[in-house]
Amino acid sequence: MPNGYPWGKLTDAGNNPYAEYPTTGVVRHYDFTVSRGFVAPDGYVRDVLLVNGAYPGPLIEANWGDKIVVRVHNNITGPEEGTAIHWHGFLQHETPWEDGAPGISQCPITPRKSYSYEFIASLYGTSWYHAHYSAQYTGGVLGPIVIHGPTSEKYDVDLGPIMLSGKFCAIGR
Amino acid sequence: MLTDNTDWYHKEYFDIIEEMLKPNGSPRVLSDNNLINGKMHFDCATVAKGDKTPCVNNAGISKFRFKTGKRHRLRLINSGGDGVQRFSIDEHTLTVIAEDFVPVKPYNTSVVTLGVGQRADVLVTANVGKPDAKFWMRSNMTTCSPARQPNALAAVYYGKADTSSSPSSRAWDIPDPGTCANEDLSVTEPLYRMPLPKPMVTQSMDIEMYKNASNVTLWRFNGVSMRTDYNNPVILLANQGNFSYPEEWNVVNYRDSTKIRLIVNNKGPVA
Repeated sequence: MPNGYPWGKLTDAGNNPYAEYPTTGVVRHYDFTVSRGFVAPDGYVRDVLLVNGAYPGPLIEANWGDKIVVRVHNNITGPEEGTAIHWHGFLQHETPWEDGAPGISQCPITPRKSYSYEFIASLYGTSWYHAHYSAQYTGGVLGPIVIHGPTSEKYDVDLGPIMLSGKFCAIGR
Repeated sequence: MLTDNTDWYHKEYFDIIEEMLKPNGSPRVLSDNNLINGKMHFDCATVAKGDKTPCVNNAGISKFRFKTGKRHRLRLINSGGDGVQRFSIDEHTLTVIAEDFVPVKPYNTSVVTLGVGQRADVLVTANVGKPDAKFWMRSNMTTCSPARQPNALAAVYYGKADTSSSPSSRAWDIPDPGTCANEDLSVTEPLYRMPLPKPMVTQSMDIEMYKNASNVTLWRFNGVSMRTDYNNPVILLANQGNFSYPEEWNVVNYRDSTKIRLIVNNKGPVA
Protein backbone atom coordinates (compact mmCIF):
# COMPACT_ATOMS: atom_id res chain seq x y z
CA MET A 1 0.00 0.00 0.00
CA PRO A 2 1.23 3.53 -0.73
CA ASN A 3 2.88 4.97 2.39
CA GLY A 4 1.59 1.97 4.38
CA TYR A 5 -2.08 3.03 4.40
CA PRO A 6 -5.02 2.48 2.02
CA TRP A 7 -5.30 6.30 1.92
CA GLY A 8 -1.60 6.82 1.11
CA LYS A 9 -0.20 10.17 2.25
CA LEU A 10 -3.55 11.87 2.87
CA THR A 11 -3.88 13.15 6.47
CA ASP A 12 -6.68 14.48 8.68
CA ALA A 13 -5.03 17.90 9.21
CA GLY A 14 -3.64 18.34 5.69
CA ASN A 15 -6.41 17.24 3.33
CA ASN A 16 -10.05 18.20 2.77
CA PRO A 17 -12.12 15.00 2.42
CA TYR A 18 -14.93 17.03 0.82
CA ALA A 19 -12.53 17.80 -2.06
CA GLU A 20 -10.42 14.63 -2.34
CA TYR A 21 -10.56 11.05 -1.17
CA PRO A 22 -8.67 7.89 -2.11
CA THR A 23 -10.00 5.29 -4.52
CA THR A 24 -8.98 1.97 -3.02
CA GLY A 25 -10.87 -0.26 -5.45
CA VAL A 26 -11.95 -2.37 -2.47
CA VAL A 27 -15.63 -3.36 -2.21
CA ARG A 28 -17.16 -4.27 1.18
CA HIS A 29 -20.21 -6.52 0.78
CA TYR A 30 -22.95 -6.86 3.38
CA ASP A 31 -26.22 -8.76 3.35
CA PHE A 32 -29.06 -7.47 5.57
CA THR A 33 -32.44 -9.06 6.23
CA VAL A 34 -34.97 -6.86 8.04
CA SER A 35 -37.69 -8.78 9.89
CA ARG A 36 -39.97 -8.68 12.91
CA GLY A 37 -39.00 -10.26 16.19
CA PHE A 38 -38.92 -9.91 19.96
CA VAL A 39 -36.05 -8.68 22.13
CA ALA A 40 -35.65 -7.80 25.79
CA PRO A 41 -32.47 -5.67 25.98
CA ASP A 42 -33.39 -4.49 29.48
CA GLY A 43 -35.46 -7.52 30.53
CA TYR A 44 -38.82 -6.26 29.22
CA VAL A 45 -39.93 -8.17 26.13
CA ARG A 46 -40.80 -5.95 23.17
CA ASP A 47 -42.02 -6.23 19.57
CA VAL A 48 -39.24 -4.95 17.35
CA LEU A 49 -37.79 -4.87 13.85
CA LEU A 50 -34.36 -6.48 13.53
CA VAL A 51 -31.45 -6.52 11.08
CA ASN A 52 -30.18 -10.09 10.64
CA GLY A 53 -32.08 -11.06 13.81
CA ALA A 54 -30.15 -8.63 16.02
CA TYR A 55 -30.58 -5.34 17.87
CA PRO A 56 -28.49 -3.30 17.23
CA GLY A 57 -27.76 -4.53 13.71
CA PRO A 58 -24.33 -5.70 12.46
CA LEU A 59 -21.32 -3.39 12.15
CA ILE A 60 -20.39 -2.01 8.73
CA GLU A 61 -16.63 -1.51 8.56
CA ALA A 62 -14.53 -0.12 5.68
CA ASN A 63 -11.49 2.00 4.88
CA TRP A 64 -11.68 5.56 3.62
CA GLY A 65 -12.25 5.38 -0.16
CA ASP A 66 -13.76 1.86 -0.20
CA LYS A 67 -17.06 1.10 -1.89
CA ILE A 68 -19.80 -0.29 0.39
CA VAL A 69 -22.46 -2.58 -1.04
CA VAL A 70 -25.38 -3.57 1.20
CA ARG A 71 -28.06 -5.90 -0.16
CA VAL A 72 -31.20 -5.28 1.93
CA HIS A 73 -33.95 -7.92 1.98
CA ASN A 74 -37.32 -6.75 3.29
CA ASN A 75 -38.71 -9.71 5.23
CA ILE A 76 -41.15 -7.64 7.32
CA THR A 77 -44.40 -9.59 7.46
CA GLY A 78 -47.38 -10.01 9.81
CA PRO A 79 -48.18 -7.20 8.99
CA GLU A 80 -46.12 -6.24 5.96
CA GLU A 81 -44.30 -2.91 5.75
CA GLY A 82 -41.97 -1.29 3.25
CA THR A 83 -38.49 -0.26 4.35
CA ALA A 84 -35.45 1.79 3.31
CA ILE A 85 -32.08 2.30 5.01
CA HIS A 86 -30.31 5.65 5.35
CA TRP A 87 -26.49 5.74 5.64
CA HIS A 88 -26.16 8.59 8.10
CA GLY A 89 -23.56 11.24 7.22
CA PHE A 90 -22.56 9.83 3.84
CA LEU A 91 -22.33 12.47 1.11
CA GLN A 92 -23.69 10.35 -1.79
CA HIS A 93 -22.09 12.84 -4.20
CA GLU A 94 -22.38 10.71 -7.33
CA THR A 95 -25.17 8.48 -5.98
CA PRO A 96 -28.10 10.56 -4.63
CA TRP A 97 -30.48 7.65 -5.25
CA GLU A 98 -28.65 5.57 -2.61
CA ASP A 99 -29.49 7.91 0.31
CA GLY A 100 -32.30 5.71 1.62
CA ALA A 101 -35.06 8.32 2.09
CA PRO A 102 -38.29 6.84 0.66
CA GLY A 103 -40.39 9.35 -1.29
CA ILE A 104 -37.29 11.49 -1.88
CA SER A 105 -34.55 9.28 -3.29
CA GLN A 106 -36.29 5.94 -3.84
CA CYS A 107 -39.51 3.97 -3.54
CA PRO A 108 -39.59 1.85 -0.37
CA ILE A 109 -38.25 -1.70 -0.67
CA THR A 110 -41.55 -3.61 -0.79
CA PRO A 111 -42.17 -6.71 1.39
CA ARG A 112 -40.29 -9.82 0.19
CA LYS A 113 -38.19 -7.74 -2.24
CA SER A 114 -34.54 -6.69 -2.11
CA TYR A 115 -32.45 -3.70 -3.06
CA SER A 116 -28.65 -3.28 -3.23
CA TYR A 117 -27.29 0.03 -1.99
CA GLU A 118 -23.87 0.97 -3.44
CA PHE A 119 -21.94 4.03 -2.28
CA ILE A 120 -18.42 5.33 -1.60
CA ALA A 121 -17.02 6.00 1.89
CA SER A 122 -15.71 9.46 0.92
CA LEU A 123 -15.61 10.66 4.55
CA TYR A 124 -14.14 8.72 7.49
CA GLY A 125 -14.84 8.25 11.18
CA THR A 126 -17.84 6.93 13.11
CA SER A 127 -21.45 6.84 11.98
CA TRP A 128 -24.54 4.66 11.83
CA TYR A 129 -27.31 3.44 9.57
CA HIS A 130 -31.01 3.44 10.33
CA ALA A 131 -34.35 2.78 8.65
CA HIS A 132 -35.82 5.94 7.13
CA TYR A 133 -39.33 4.51 6.60
CA SER A 134 -41.81 6.06 9.05
CA ALA A 135 -40.26 5.78 12.55
CA GLN A 136 -39.03 2.20 11.98
CA TYR A 137 -35.59 2.95 13.39
CA THR A 138 -37.02 3.51 16.87
CA GLY A 139 -38.39 -0.02 16.38
CA GLY A 140 -34.84 -1.36 16.17
CA VAL A 141 -33.58 -1.06 12.56
CA LEU A 142 -30.20 0.56 13.18
CA GLY A 143 -26.51 -0.26 13.56
CA PRO A 144 -22.99 1.21 13.65
CA ILE A 145 -20.60 2.18 10.84
CA VAL A 146 -16.82 2.60 11.23
CA ILE A 147 -14.77 4.07 8.36
CA HIS A 148 -11.05 3.84 9.17
CA GLY A 149 -9.01 6.87 8.12
CA PRO A 150 -6.02 8.99 9.09
CA THR A 151 -5.74 10.23 12.69
CA SER A 152 -2.97 12.54 13.95
CA GLU A 153 -3.73 11.76 17.57
CA LYS A 154 -2.04 8.56 18.75
CA TYR A 155 -3.72 5.84 20.80
CA ASP A 156 -2.76 2.33 21.87
CA VAL A 157 -5.91 0.31 21.80
CA ASP A 158 -8.68 0.24 19.25
CA LEU A 159 -10.61 -2.56 20.87
CA GLY A 160 -12.86 -2.69 17.85
CA PRO A 161 -16.59 -2.41 18.08
CA ILE A 162 -18.17 -4.09 21.05
CA MET A 163 -21.71 -4.91 20.02
CA LEU A 164 -23.40 -7.09 22.59
CA SER A 165 -26.67 -7.39 20.74
CA GLY A 166 -25.91 -11.03 19.86
CA LYS A 167 -26.68 -11.89 23.47
CA PHE A 168 -30.30 -10.90 23.14
CA CYS A 169 -32.78 -13.67 22.63
CA ALA A 170 -34.33 -12.64 19.34
CA ILE A 171 -37.20 -14.92 18.39
CA GLY A 172 -38.45 -14.53 14.84
CA ARG A 173 -42.13 -14.83 14.21
CA MET B 1 -14.51 0.40 21.06
CA LEU B 2 -17.95 1.36 19.97
CA THR B 3 -20.75 2.58 22.16
CA ASP B 4 -24.36 3.06 21.19
CA ASN B 5 -26.41 5.24 23.50
CA THR B 6 -30.10 4.76 22.95
CA ASP B 7 -33.25 5.89 24.64
CA TRP B 8 -35.53 2.87 24.71
CA TYR B 9 -39.31 2.68 24.37
CA HIS B 10 -41.28 -0.35 25.54
CA LYS B 11 -44.14 0.24 23.13
CA GLU B 12 -44.01 -0.91 19.51
CA TYR B 13 -42.97 2.01 17.27
CA PHE B 14 -46.22 2.30 15.32
CA ASP B 15 -48.25 2.45 18.56
CA ILE B 16 -46.07 5.39 19.66
CA ILE B 17 -46.78 7.23 16.39
CA GLU B 18 -50.53 6.62 16.75
CA GLU B 19 -50.42 7.97 20.30
CA MET B 20 -48.56 11.08 19.16
CA LEU B 21 -50.73 11.80 16.13
CA LYS B 22 -54.22 11.21 17.50
CA PRO B 23 -56.43 14.26 18.12
CA ASN B 24 -55.35 15.84 21.42
CA GLY B 25 -52.44 13.37 21.47
CA SER B 26 -49.16 14.18 23.14
CA PRO B 27 -46.13 14.92 20.96
CA ARG B 28 -43.87 14.06 23.91
CA VAL B 29 -43.89 10.33 24.54
CA LEU B 30 -41.80 9.30 27.54
CA SER B 31 -39.04 6.80 26.81
CA ASP B 32 -38.88 3.88 29.25
CA ASN B 33 -35.16 3.32 29.63
CA ASN B 34 -31.68 4.32 28.41
CA LEU B 35 -29.24 1.75 27.01
CA ILE B 36 -25.47 1.55 26.42
CA ASN B 37 -24.70 -0.91 23.62
CA GLY B 38 -28.26 -2.17 23.88
CA LYS B 39 -28.13 -3.05 27.57
CA MET B 40 -29.38 -1.73 30.90
CA HIS B 41 -31.28 -2.89 33.95
CA PHE B 42 -34.99 -2.22 34.26
CA ASP B 43 -37.15 -2.28 37.40
CA CYS B 44 -40.07 -4.53 36.45
CA ALA B 45 -42.05 -3.20 39.44
CA THR B 46 -42.48 0.06 37.53
CA VAL B 47 -44.53 -1.34 34.61
CA ALA B 48 -48.08 -0.07 34.21
CA LYS B 49 -50.87 -1.85 36.10
CA GLY B 50 -52.32 -4.71 34.06
CA ASP B 51 -49.23 -4.98 31.81
CA LYS B 52 -48.64 -8.75 31.52
CA THR B 53 -45.55 -8.45 29.28
CA PRO B 54 -42.76 -10.84 30.38
CA CYS B 55 -40.14 -8.85 32.33
CA VAL B 56 -37.02 -9.86 34.29
CA ASN B 57 -35.08 -7.64 36.68
CA ASN B 58 -31.29 -7.14 36.47
CA ALA B 59 -31.08 -7.99 32.77
CA GLY B 60 -27.41 -6.97 32.78
CA ILE B 61 -25.30 -4.05 31.59
CA SER B 62 -22.48 -3.66 29.05
CA LYS B 63 -18.96 -4.33 30.35
CA PHE B 64 -15.75 -2.89 28.87
CA ARG B 65 -12.17 -4.08 29.54
CA PHE B 66 -9.49 -1.34 29.49
CA LYS B 67 -5.75 -2.10 29.28
CA THR B 68 -4.18 -0.48 32.33
CA GLY B 69 -2.11 2.57 31.41
CA LYS B 70 -3.10 2.48 27.74
CA ARG B 71 -4.98 5.05 25.65
CA HIS B 72 -8.25 3.79 24.19
CA ARG B 73 -10.47 5.04 21.38
CA LEU B 74 -14.25 5.08 21.96
CA ARG B 75 -16.72 5.76 19.18
CA LEU B 76 -19.87 7.24 20.69
CA ILE B 77 -23.15 7.26 18.75
CA ASN B 78 -26.47 8.68 19.90
CA SER B 79 -28.80 6.33 18.02
CA GLY B 80 -31.87 7.22 20.07
CA GLY B 81 -35.27 8.50 19.03
CA ASP B 82 -35.46 11.67 21.08
CA GLY B 83 -33.02 11.93 23.98
CA VAL B 84 -30.02 14.29 24.22
CA GLN B 85 -27.27 12.23 25.89
CA ARG B 86 -24.53 13.31 28.34
CA PHE B 87 -21.74 10.69 28.31
CA SER B 88 -18.97 10.33 30.90
CA ILE B 89 -16.68 7.85 32.67
CA ASP B 90 -16.19 8.46 36.39
CA GLU B 91 -12.83 10.11 37.22
CA HIS B 92 -11.62 9.98 33.56
CA THR B 93 -11.00 12.92 31.25
CA LEU B 94 -12.17 12.40 27.68
CA THR B 95 -10.22 13.81 24.71
CA VAL B 96 -12.57 14.48 21.79
CA ILE B 97 -10.82 14.00 18.39
CA ALA B 98 -13.78 13.92 15.99
CA GLU B 99 -17.41 15.00 15.92
CA ASP B 100 -19.66 13.33 13.39
CA PHE B 101 -17.41 12.80 10.32
CA VAL B 102 -15.24 15.86 11.14
CA PRO B 103 -11.82 15.53 12.84
CA VAL B 104 -11.52 18.35 15.42
CA LYS B 105 -8.60 19.91 17.29
CA PRO B 106 -8.39 17.64 20.36
CA TYR B 107 -10.04 19.10 23.46
CA ASN B 108 -10.53 17.70 26.94
CA THR B 109 -13.87 17.37 28.70
CA SER B 110 -15.52 15.35 31.45
CA VAL B 111 -18.89 15.11 29.72
CA VAL B 112 -19.67 14.71 26.01
CA THR B 113 -23.14 15.92 24.95
CA LEU B 114 -24.71 14.29 21.89
CA GLY B 115 -28.03 15.05 20.20
CA VAL B 116 -29.88 12.38 18.22
CA GLY B 117 -27.74 11.13 15.32
CA GLN B 118 -24.57 12.82 16.55
CA ARG B 119 -21.27 10.97 17.08
CA ALA B 120 -18.04 11.71 18.94
CA ASP B 121 -14.71 9.89 18.74
CA VAL B 122 -12.99 10.19 22.12
CA LEU B 123 -9.68 9.00 23.57
CA VAL B 124 -9.40 7.95 27.21
CA THR B 125 -6.32 6.77 29.11
CA ALA B 126 -6.66 4.06 31.79
CA ASN B 127 -4.34 5.75 34.28
CA VAL B 128 -6.46 6.98 37.16
CA GLY B 129 -6.57 3.75 39.19
CA LYS B 130 -4.70 0.57 40.08
CA PRO B 131 -4.69 -2.39 37.65
CA ASP B 132 -7.71 -3.86 39.44
CA ALA B 133 -9.73 -0.61 39.35
CA LYS B 134 -13.28 -0.38 38.00
CA PHE B 135 -15.46 2.59 37.11
CA TRP B 136 -18.98 3.42 35.97
CA MET B 137 -19.54 4.59 32.42
CA ARG B 138 -22.66 6.78 32.31
CA SER B 139 -24.97 8.13 29.66
CA ASN B 140 -27.65 10.38 31.12
CA MET B 141 -30.45 11.91 29.13
CA THR B 142 -30.72 15.65 29.68
CA THR B 143 -33.67 17.29 31.39
CA CYS B 144 -34.79 18.31 27.87
CA SER B 145 -35.70 14.71 27.09
CA PRO B 146 -38.92 13.25 28.52
CA ALA B 147 -37.89 9.97 30.14
CA ARG B 148 -39.06 7.57 32.85
CA GLN B 149 -35.54 6.22 33.46
CA PRO B 150 -32.97 8.58 31.86
CA ASN B 151 -29.72 7.19 33.31
CA ALA B 152 -27.79 4.40 31.54
CA LEU B 153 -24.86 2.59 33.14
CA ALA B 154 -22.07 0.36 31.85
CA ALA B 155 -18.96 -0.91 33.69
CA VAL B 156 -15.30 -0.24 32.82
CA TYR B 157 -12.75 -2.75 34.16
CA TYR B 158 -8.98 -2.22 34.16
CA GLY B 159 -6.71 -5.16 33.23
CA LYS B 160 -6.80 -7.08 36.52
CA ALA B 161 -10.28 -6.07 37.73
CA ASP B 162 -12.87 -8.71 38.62
CA THR B 163 -15.69 -8.33 36.09
CA SER B 164 -18.19 -10.15 38.34
CA SER B 165 -18.18 -7.23 40.78
CA SER B 166 -19.71 -3.79 40.27
CA PRO B 167 -17.83 -0.48 40.35
CA SER B 168 -18.41 1.85 43.28
CA SER B 169 -16.99 5.00 41.68
CA ARG B 170 -18.67 8.39 41.97
CA ALA B 171 -19.91 10.46 39.04
CA TRP B 172 -18.31 13.74 38.01
CA ASP B 173 -20.12 16.58 39.77
CA ILE B 174 -21.12 18.41 36.59
CA PRO B 175 -24.82 19.31 36.63
CA ASP B 176 -26.88 19.26 33.45
CA PRO B 177 -26.87 22.90 32.24
CA GLY B 178 -30.43 22.37 30.95
CA THR B 179 -29.68 24.00 27.62
CA CYS B 180 -30.29 20.95 25.36
CA ALA B 181 -27.25 22.23 23.44
CA ASN B 182 -23.91 20.90 22.23
CA GLU B 183 -20.53 22.20 23.37
CA ASP B 184 -19.99 25.80 22.28
CA LEU B 185 -18.77 26.04 18.66
CA SER B 186 -15.62 27.87 19.83
CA VAL B 187 -14.57 24.65 21.60
CA THR B 188 -15.13 22.29 18.68
CA GLU B 189 -12.77 23.54 16.00
CA PRO B 190 -12.30 21.45 12.83
CA LEU B 191 -8.76 20.22 12.24
CA TYR B 192 -8.93 21.20 8.58
CA ARG B 193 -10.20 24.72 7.98
CA MET B 194 -12.64 25.15 5.12
CA PRO B 195 -13.56 28.70 4.10
CA LEU B 196 -17.29 29.29 3.53
CA PRO B 197 -18.16 29.92 -0.12
CA LYS B 198 -20.14 33.04 -1.03
CA PRO B 199 -23.79 31.93 -1.20
CA MET B 200 -25.84 32.55 -4.35
CA VAL B 201 -29.04 32.22 -2.30
CA THR B 202 -29.62 32.79 1.42
CA GLN B 203 -32.83 31.61 3.06
CA SER B 204 -34.13 31.39 6.63
CA MET B 205 -36.26 28.41 7.59
CA ASP B 206 -38.17 28.00 10.85
CA ILE B 207 -38.96 24.77 12.65
CA GLU B 208 -42.26 25.05 14.53
CA MET B 209 -44.76 22.87 16.34
CA TYR B 210 -48.49 23.60 16.00
CA LYS B 211 -51.95 22.05 16.30
CA ASN B 212 -54.11 21.60 13.20
CA ALA B 213 -57.91 21.94 13.08
CA SER B 214 -58.29 18.37 14.42
CA ASN B 215 -56.11 19.19 17.42
CA VAL B 216 -53.33 16.96 16.11
CA THR B 217 -49.87 18.22 17.04
CA LEU B 218 -47.66 18.52 13.95
CA TRP B 219 -44.29 19.93 12.93
CA ARG B 220 -43.85 22.61 10.32
CA PHE B 221 -40.61 23.34 8.43
CA ASN B 222 -40.42 26.52 6.35
CA GLY B 223 -44.17 26.92 6.85
CA VAL B 224 -45.19 23.48 5.59
CA SER B 225 -46.06 20.27 7.42
CA MET B 226 -44.54 17.86 4.93
CA ARG B 227 -46.28 14.78 3.54
CA THR B 228 -44.13 12.30 1.65
CA ASP B 229 -45.55 10.32 -1.24
CA TYR B 230 -43.69 7.03 -1.00
CA ASN B 231 -44.80 6.12 -4.54
CA ASN B 232 -43.29 9.24 -6.14
CA PRO B 233 -39.64 9.85 -5.22
CA VAL B 234 -38.78 13.46 -5.99
CA ILE B 235 -35.39 12.77 -7.59
CA LEU B 236 -36.99 10.26 -9.95
CA LEU B 237 -39.59 12.85 -11.06
CA ALA B 238 -36.87 15.52 -11.40
CA ASN B 239 -34.82 13.16 -13.53
CA GLN B 240 -37.89 12.76 -15.76
CA GLY B 241 -38.16 16.54 -16.11
CA ASN B 242 -41.14 16.97 -13.75
CA PHE B 243 -40.51 19.93 -11.44
CA SER B 244 -44.06 20.76 -10.28
CA TYR B 245 -44.94 19.08 -7.02
CA PRO B 246 -47.73 19.41 -4.46
CA GLU B 247 -47.04 22.10 -1.84
CA GLU B 248 -47.23 19.49 0.93
CA TRP B 249 -44.06 17.79 -0.44
CA ASN B 250 -42.22 20.93 0.70
CA VAL B 251 -39.72 20.89 -2.18
CA VAL B 252 -37.70 24.08 -2.78
CA ASN B 253 -36.34 24.61 -6.29
CA TYR B 254 -33.00 26.44 -6.18
CA ARG B 255 -32.65 26.18 -9.98
CA ASP B 256 -29.01 26.56 -11.04
CA SER B 257 -27.66 27.76 -7.68
CA THR B 258 -24.63 25.77 -6.58
CA LYS B 259 -23.98 27.51 -3.24
CA ILE B 260 -26.92 27.91 -0.87
CA ARG B 261 -26.94 29.22 2.71
CA LEU B 262 -29.79 28.01 4.93
CA ILE B 263 -30.37 29.61 8.32
CA VAL B 264 -32.47 27.21 10.40
CA ASN B 265 -34.29 28.62 13.44
CA ASN B 266 -35.58 26.08 15.96
CA LYS B 267 -38.75 27.65 17.34
CA GLY B 268 -40.05 24.32 18.59
CA PRO B 269 -39.98 23.22 22.23
CA VAL B 270 -37.31 20.49 21.88
CA ALA B 271 -33.64 20.14 20.90
